[in-house]
Parts: sequence; structure tokens; C-alpha cells
Amino acid sequence: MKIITLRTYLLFLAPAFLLFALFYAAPILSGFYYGFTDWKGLSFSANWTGLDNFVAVFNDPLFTTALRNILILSVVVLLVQHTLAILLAVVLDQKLKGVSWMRAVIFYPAILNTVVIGYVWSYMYSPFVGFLPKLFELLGLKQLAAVDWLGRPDLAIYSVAFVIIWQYVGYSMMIYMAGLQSIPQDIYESASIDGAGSFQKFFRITLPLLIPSITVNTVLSVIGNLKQFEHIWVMTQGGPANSTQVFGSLIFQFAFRTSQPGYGTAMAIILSVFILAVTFVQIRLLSRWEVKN
Amino acid sequence: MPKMKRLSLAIVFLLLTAMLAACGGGNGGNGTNGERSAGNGEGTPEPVTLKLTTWNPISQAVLAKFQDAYPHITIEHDHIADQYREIIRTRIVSKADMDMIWMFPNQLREYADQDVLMDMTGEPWLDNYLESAVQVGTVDGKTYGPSYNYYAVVFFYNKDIFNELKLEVPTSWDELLEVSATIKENGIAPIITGGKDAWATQFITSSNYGYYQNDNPQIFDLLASGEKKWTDPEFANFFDPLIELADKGYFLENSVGLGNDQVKQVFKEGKAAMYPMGTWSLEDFPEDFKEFEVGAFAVPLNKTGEPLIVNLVSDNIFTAVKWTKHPEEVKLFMSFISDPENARLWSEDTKSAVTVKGGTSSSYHPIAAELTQVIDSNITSIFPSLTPSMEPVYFPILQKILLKQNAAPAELLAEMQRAQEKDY
Repeated sequence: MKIITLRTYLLFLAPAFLLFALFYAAPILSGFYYGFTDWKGLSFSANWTGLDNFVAVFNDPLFTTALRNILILSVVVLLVQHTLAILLAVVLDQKLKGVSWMRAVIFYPAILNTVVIGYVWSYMYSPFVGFLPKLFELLGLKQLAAVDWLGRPDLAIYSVAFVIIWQYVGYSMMIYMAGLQSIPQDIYESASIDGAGSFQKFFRITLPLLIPSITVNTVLSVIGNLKQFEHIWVMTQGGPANSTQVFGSLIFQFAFRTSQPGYGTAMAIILSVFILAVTFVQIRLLSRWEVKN
Repeated sequence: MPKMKRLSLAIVFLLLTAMLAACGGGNGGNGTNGERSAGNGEGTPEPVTLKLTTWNPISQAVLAKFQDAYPHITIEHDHIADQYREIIRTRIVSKADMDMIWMFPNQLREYADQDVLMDMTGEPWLDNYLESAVQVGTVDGKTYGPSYNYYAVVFFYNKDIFNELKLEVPTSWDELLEVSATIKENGIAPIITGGKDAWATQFITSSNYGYYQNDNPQIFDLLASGEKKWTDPEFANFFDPLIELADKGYFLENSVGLGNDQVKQVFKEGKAAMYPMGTWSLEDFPEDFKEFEVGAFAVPLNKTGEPLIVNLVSDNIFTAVKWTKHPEEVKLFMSFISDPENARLWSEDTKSAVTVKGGTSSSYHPIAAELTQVIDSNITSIFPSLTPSMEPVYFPILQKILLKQNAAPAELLAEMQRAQEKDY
């Protein structure tokens, strides 16, 4: 009887397992293999090169540039987007006139196509013809109007970060609002009775009880920025002069433009390990903060 | 219970079969030598659909004429305007159902080495093409197709500004510098090139190719094989023209972040006098463009007294995949478009020059006559194809020069050589 039940279970699991094996496990394992070869991408044959690709990645000057940029994106987006999202969640969690409309407007960019957003913002940033320079000129801010936001190596990555924040602040806000709505109101009432002001309630009650939402939101945000590709590729293609290169754009470039997919795969493996390590550390730290509070 | 078990097994079996059926297929078949070709003259030919994939629009008039001549053949055109190289690579790797494709010259060797392209060596209609067009599509003695169009690398210029400042079209490097200085003194940016679409920044520097090939026609093959190096003396001046123009402030300020579409818009608004680009951009200045009169002249990198060389880009190699189900129909179409009369129709319809001898219309654009005169009265040279690892290094160097953040030319050329060595 037990053997028959197990076989039936296995047979029902088989389709899902097959899908997982074909579309997840097989590509990951074969990719892992090709990272150790000189694979050119046009046939399945490749020569084993051992750790050559990995050594070359660590010695590539663009590796440092990409690492710097994904860390900039992760930190800037984390701090600005989530601070803003929490504040917006607190404000829009109240019964204000038009609050539903405001929530929808702020959330709306999160559901737009990233490529469309990238192209539109590229145009908006453009000197001479873009909306932002013309707006700054209208406001008398001639110095800002003359800035080439995506053409200056020192500014371009921050210009992209702003677009990412603009696109996803609403998404983060919704998760924080769900967290806020799970905080019992009687805690706030008790605090009011004890004489706590708004400031104290926010830092002593709201923020600590939002930690589970903060954990989810920030982990997703950091992972998304570490593997960033779409915004960079559409808005700058890694330029100007490689100043906004990230691992996503480099992997795409090596895999599809320079016939070095083996090298690109090695870079992808390094990125995956890095993301796993950062995520692990992040979750451990946030879990301790959660337990402590 | 037994009924339940049989029902469970049947459901699982059906699911597995459905999944395997969905995963299978998609290959273009195994025929390579016309095993399944139609139209052999016996009876009514079977209807055939030929797939053609290109990165630019093609002549609908020629397609219609071909389909009238061969009613059993339908051409299905797939126009991929962006990320063409990457999409074609994916389709070739997966042996997707394709027939004819355009290919860039610097992809040809790679795909030829992997034996994925149809060999068209010896086809009689190849004689209708310029020898250089056939050469571009030939690797190790095998011809995989000719390049079909050619475009001149030029400066589009604002004739109204030139006329107002009483400037002549420059025919040498020194004359270009003088013209640029005069334009700048009058408060107008001499040149605009942008920087975000890195490929669009190359045309001043890359105009050196023609001068190198004029001295040694094999020089780029020798670079690719390692017999010549980017650090050799003949390439020492490669980046000098762009560096000089950038250092003298002749590019529109704060424009490195502009993409090519935005550059065109800024040029059309009269904010710069000259715009280096290939003549495929003629379509951006149609007959009804009235903001100012547009002209074009070849990029003059020559010293005064030396011959000016017009660089031609001829990069759309018309080829086919080896696993096409309709090789005879592919050759029929290739033969059809090699006919000068059909080529002239293509030229007129797409507003472009073609590499078929006698196939370029003399009136395909209002400035066609001016361009033809420039091309006919100077030495011409077709752009070589750099190997795949070059562009990701070359184009960022050009952006650094425009930003005035470049290293010394010797270091830049060393960087080019390191990239070249990855493709040996």
C-alpha cells in the first residue's frame, strides 16, 4: 500500500520536476560548466580552461567599475527609496481626501514597462531637447539646465539610480502600508496616553514593528540592484566611457557582442555567489534586529 | 482504487506528452541541398514562404515585383530595428526556422567557421556586383553572399550656415579646421556627434580606415591575424583627428549624453553646423525638410594636396542559413535582386545606393547627385570589419575623447591591441 502511494506521488511530481530540470537546473548546471571553458556560443563544443575565465574577470578593470556601480546603486536606492517609501506609507495610511488616488499615482510607475521608462527618462534627461533642461531653464536654473545628466561619468550612475527610485518607491510604499496596517492601533493609543509625541511613536513603535516589511523590501531591493541590467542598458549601455557598467551589462556584452559567453558565464557565476553572500549577511543582520525589537 | 490509479497514470502520461510536444520542434529541418525545394518545373509549384530578416527596411516594390514574377513564393520580411546581432545570434544557435538574413561583416567569419551559412560561391549572379561587395562577403575563398547597399561616411552640413558665413566645403583636414574655427567664432557649435549611442561617434576616427587600406589593402586582415598591431607606427595617428577637434572645443558642449535620435533633432534645430554620419541617414532629411538646406561632404582627413578618400560602409551582407528548407528559392531571389533594373527599383524605393553594377538610381534623394559626384570624383574604400572584441573597447575610448578624459594616444592604441589579441 505504501509503495503504491509513493509511486503515485512521484508520478504527480514528475511533470513539475521535469519543468524544473529543463528550464532551471539544466541551464544553471550547463552555464556553470561553460564558465570553465572557452565556449564561443555557436555550438555546444568548448575547451576546458579551468579557472582562467575567473582569474581574467578579477583582473579586468571593468570588474572593479561594475562592483562599484552595483554597490552605489544598492546603497543609494536602499537609503533614498525606502526612507521615502516609509514616509509616504505613514502619510498615505491616514484617512485623507484623495488618498486612494495618490496611492495609485505613486504606485503606477512600478507596473510600467522598464524599457519604456528607460527611453522616456533618457529623453527627459537629454540636454537641449529634454523636458528637464527646459524645465530648469524656465525656472531660471541655467546651471542645472546645462547639465548632461547621462553624459557625465560622475553623474550618470546617480541619474539612473534616481529613475530606479522613481519607478519602485510606490511598490515599496505598498509593502510598508501593509505592514503599517498590521500594527495594532491600541499600541498607539497607549503611547498617546503615556504622552508620546508623533516623533516618538514613529521611532519607538512604527519603525520597530515594520522590521519584517523592511526585511522583505530591502532584501528584494538589494538583490534587484546587484543584478541590475535593464535601466543601465536602455539609458546608458554602460557608458559614457564604461562609467555605468554593471555586471548585467558586462555579461550581456560578453555573451552576445564579443563571442565570449564562456567568460560572460564566469562573470555571472561570480555575481550569483556575491548576491548569495550579500543576501545571507543582510538577512542575518535584519533578523537579529527583528529579534532584538 | 484501481480505477483511480489508472486515471492518475493517464493524466500524468497526457501531461508529459503535452510537455514534450511543446518542447520539441522549432528546428529548420535537415535539408541543405534542395531536397525539399519546390518549383522544379513539373506541375504547379508548391507554395513557398521565404523568411527574410534585416535591420533596415527593404524595398517593398522589389518584393512585390518578385512575388508577381514568382506567385508561388511569398517573402515574409522580419525587420529587427534594434539588438539585431543579439537576436540573430540566438536564432542561429537555436537553428530557428529562417531562410535569408542580413549579416554584419564582423560576424561573418565567426558564423562561417561554425558552418551555419549557405555557400554561394560560384553563383553566376555574383558577377553583377561590385568586386568589393563580393569580397566583403567572402571568407577563406568561400562567398556567403554580397553586401547589398553602400553608404558613404560624410559630414551632413547646414548649407544655410555655410552660405551665411561664406564658407566652402572643406576638402582637406586643414580646411575642415579653418571652417570649424570660423563657425565657432560666430557662436555656433561646429560639430555634433552625441555619445550615448557609441557606434555613432566613430565616423571621424574610422574615416582613417580608408587611408590605411589605400596604403595596404590587406592591412585589416593582417591586424586580425596578428601580423600587424594597433601599436605599429602606421596607426599612430588613428585617434588624432577626434582628439584635435575635441581639444579645440569644436563639438557641441554637454552633448555626450545625447543618443543618435536626439543628435539628429539637435542638428535639425540648427544648433550645430555639421553632423558626421553615414548616408543611411538621408531618410532623416526628406524632401519636405525645410528648416534649412542640407548638404553632405566626405570626411576629409587628408593633408592639403593629398587625395581625399571617401569611406563607404557596405555592411548588409545578404546571406542565408545552411538549414533553409528552400535553397533554390533563396538563390532565385538573390538572382532577382542582382538584376540592375530591379536593383535600381530597390535604390529608388529605399533611397539608398546599391552595390549592383549600374543599379543605383541617380535621383534617389535630393542630394543624391551631390553625393554621387563626391563618390565618383574621389578614391573610395569600403569600411573593413573589426573583430568582435574591438567595438566594446573602441567605442568607450571615443566617448572618453569627447569627454576630454582620454589617456595618451599610445596608451589608447595599446588598449585596442589588447582587445585585438582576444580574437586571435
